[in-house]
Amino acid sequence: MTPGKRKLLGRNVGAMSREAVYETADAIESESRAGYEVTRKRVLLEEVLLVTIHTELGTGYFLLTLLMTLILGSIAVVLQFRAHVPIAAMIVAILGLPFLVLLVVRLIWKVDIVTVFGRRSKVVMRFSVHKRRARGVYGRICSRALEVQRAMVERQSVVSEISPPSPPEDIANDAGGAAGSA
Amino acid sequence: MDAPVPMTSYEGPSCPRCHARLTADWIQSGTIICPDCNKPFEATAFRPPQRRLEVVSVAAALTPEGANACANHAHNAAVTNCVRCGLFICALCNMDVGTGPHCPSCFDRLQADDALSPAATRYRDYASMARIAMIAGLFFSFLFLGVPFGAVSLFYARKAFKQLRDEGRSKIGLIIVIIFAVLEIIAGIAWIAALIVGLATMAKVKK
Repeated sequence: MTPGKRKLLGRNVGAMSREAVYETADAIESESRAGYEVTRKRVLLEEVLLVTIHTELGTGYFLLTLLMTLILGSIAVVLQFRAHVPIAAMIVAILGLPFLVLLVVRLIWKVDIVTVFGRRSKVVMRFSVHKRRARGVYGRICSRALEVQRAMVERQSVVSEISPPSPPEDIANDAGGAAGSA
Repeated sequence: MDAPVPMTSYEGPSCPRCHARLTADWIQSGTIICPDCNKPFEATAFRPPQRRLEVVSVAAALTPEGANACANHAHNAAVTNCVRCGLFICALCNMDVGTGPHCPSCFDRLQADDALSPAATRYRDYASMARIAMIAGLFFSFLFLGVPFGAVSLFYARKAFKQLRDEGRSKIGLIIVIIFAVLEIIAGIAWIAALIVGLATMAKVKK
């Protein structure tokens, strides 16, 4: 468990995955769910290498909504003009309407995708309607990463100024030392 | 036996559109046009410094009291001791991920036993389990299954409560689930009682 508060930044919901992305004090945290199992990974702000934002249509989603609209629309047309059953045609048309709305919304707004690449992992967030929020999240992650990495550089420069005269055993000697003590 | 699940390894920054690996020359701030798919994306690049540990040697750390040496690295001054076994450890050996200082071997053992919750990357979402059990109980209450499903929901809700408290997350949703689960149990018991009373009355009338 992660102690302390965290703030939901966005989600990445696909056909096969459900992921929620949070901001914590020192990292961007992602929780992906498979059934009741939650897998958590983190991109530490001090290890962020690249943050990107781009807009795309989402081919799979677009084709799916287009297909459903066409299928239900054509059934409604056939029921109305060939079978002359207006009530059934209306019911099918109403069923197809949400797909048409989703298709039009996607065509107009597309989807904004923010990706954060770290040294060891990455997180992805998708924003279908909230364009300003996508921009805000992108800016926020960039400024937080910059802030944390600057602070880290400053801290390390202070440490190097007061470093001891004889260097201690470093990570290179770590394996040898541990093997010797075992 | 199950086939091993193929793991997709992370290889560093890539094009967010086509996922082609970006070499160091391409990692820069501004609008980048992917060399593979030729599509643009906006990016901000960072040059994170390598993490350096402040490891002090025993000689440099000599105070009037003297410095203790790390149990694994004789030349390094110990900065703390393991909360589990008490071993003196230097900054290199200190495995603290919000769990308190642990030496590497204790950390490995505790993590293998799943006893270090801050280090866990995989866990069960008990709040979802409680919610699903409660909803199932509502659906099947006519089959007298409201009571067992309500009880299961309360069982998971208890675990979820602890989980949410540890994470510092809101418990409002869970409280609603608990209220519904309790109502489900009460309604289930009332439903069973009404049935028993009804059957008894019918038997009396027949006599």
